[in-house]
Amino acid sequence: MRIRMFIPVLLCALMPLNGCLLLPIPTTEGKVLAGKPVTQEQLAFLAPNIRTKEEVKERLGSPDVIWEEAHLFAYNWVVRRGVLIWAIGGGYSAAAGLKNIPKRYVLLIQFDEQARLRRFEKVVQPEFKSYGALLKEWVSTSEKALPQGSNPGKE
Amino acid sequence: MQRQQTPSQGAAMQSHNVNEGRRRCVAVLRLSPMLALIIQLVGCASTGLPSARERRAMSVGDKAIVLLKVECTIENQQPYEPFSSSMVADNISFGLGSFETGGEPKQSETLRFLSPESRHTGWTYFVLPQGTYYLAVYPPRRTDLSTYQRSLENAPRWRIDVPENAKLVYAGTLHLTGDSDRLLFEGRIMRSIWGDQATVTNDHELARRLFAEYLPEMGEVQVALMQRHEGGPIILRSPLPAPTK
Repeated sequence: MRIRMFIPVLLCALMPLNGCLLLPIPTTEGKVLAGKPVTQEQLAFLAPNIRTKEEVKERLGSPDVIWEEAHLFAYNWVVRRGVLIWAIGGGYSAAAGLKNIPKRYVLLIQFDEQARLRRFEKVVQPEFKSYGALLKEWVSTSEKALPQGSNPGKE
Repeated sequence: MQRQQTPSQGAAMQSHNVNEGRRRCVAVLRLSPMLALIIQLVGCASTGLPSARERRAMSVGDKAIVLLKVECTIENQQPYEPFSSSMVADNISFGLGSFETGGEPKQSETLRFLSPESRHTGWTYFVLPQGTYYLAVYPPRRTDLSTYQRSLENAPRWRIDVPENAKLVYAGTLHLTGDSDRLLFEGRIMRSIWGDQATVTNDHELARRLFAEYLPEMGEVQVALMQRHEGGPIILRSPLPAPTK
């Protein structure tokens, strides 16, 4: 009899209990979520002091972003680096799902005043850094460390 | 001469203080729903002129007021007021992309209006530093937040250029049309915008009159009509950073 009385009390006590599960699972970077990845062959084509803006456009296509003051082209693409399995429950309801964990790549190419390729680099946009901050940081380090035409570019 | 307090007087005072504290707590609790509502409404939209700080930035050419007008129609050319409720998710929502976002529009937090009258006639404004911006226009929210934010990706976009040293910029009148759904009690709500039928016209004279009425000290308005952006590179403009040491 006491046990029977105890069950509704127990159920009521369980009601406010909520649960949340987040399980990140890393994957290979095979799946492209957005944009068009730049290939190794295209990167090999980028030779500082030799290639021009027009040649780069012809080979890699139109850039996604152009920063006019910095003579900079940017090519963006996003790949999947993992999946996040999530589940949340509370009371009588629950929900679950799967979410891609993205990794944002940006190929940055800077030209000089004569539209010759000066420097390029494939970078990953950090999760908590804005796109603008990434561009400004890259350009300012370029101004500091690399005299014109001296950078062979890196991937 | 110091008055001596008897124990009974002390207890009475303590009891009085406790009661006073309780009364205040109850009063605050009673007021809190009203305060929450006021905060919600005030935080949603800013119907008013730019702040003193913004005006200072405008006077030295750091920022500009970008004014635009929105005119909407829904099926059968019925007029549809774009900013009827002055809320974030009003009858029309905006996303704005800037240098910081790589041109990718992010949902605008606040809608700003020079006056309630100008709001009802479809005028809204942004205060922006010089540069290039991408304005996405999409219908009001009727789904969960993440689905709604994803709908920004496919929203029609316009490029807005804020010229150097401009104080007042008129970016054009945007004519939108789309589908709508009937609301439960009265009226209709926009479901989708037909991007291919959207046009921009020049109501420069109306913009000039509005600025002359509300911001006469800021001088002449510059016209920089927004351009439709349909693919192609995103152009960004921002001064170069100083080289790091």
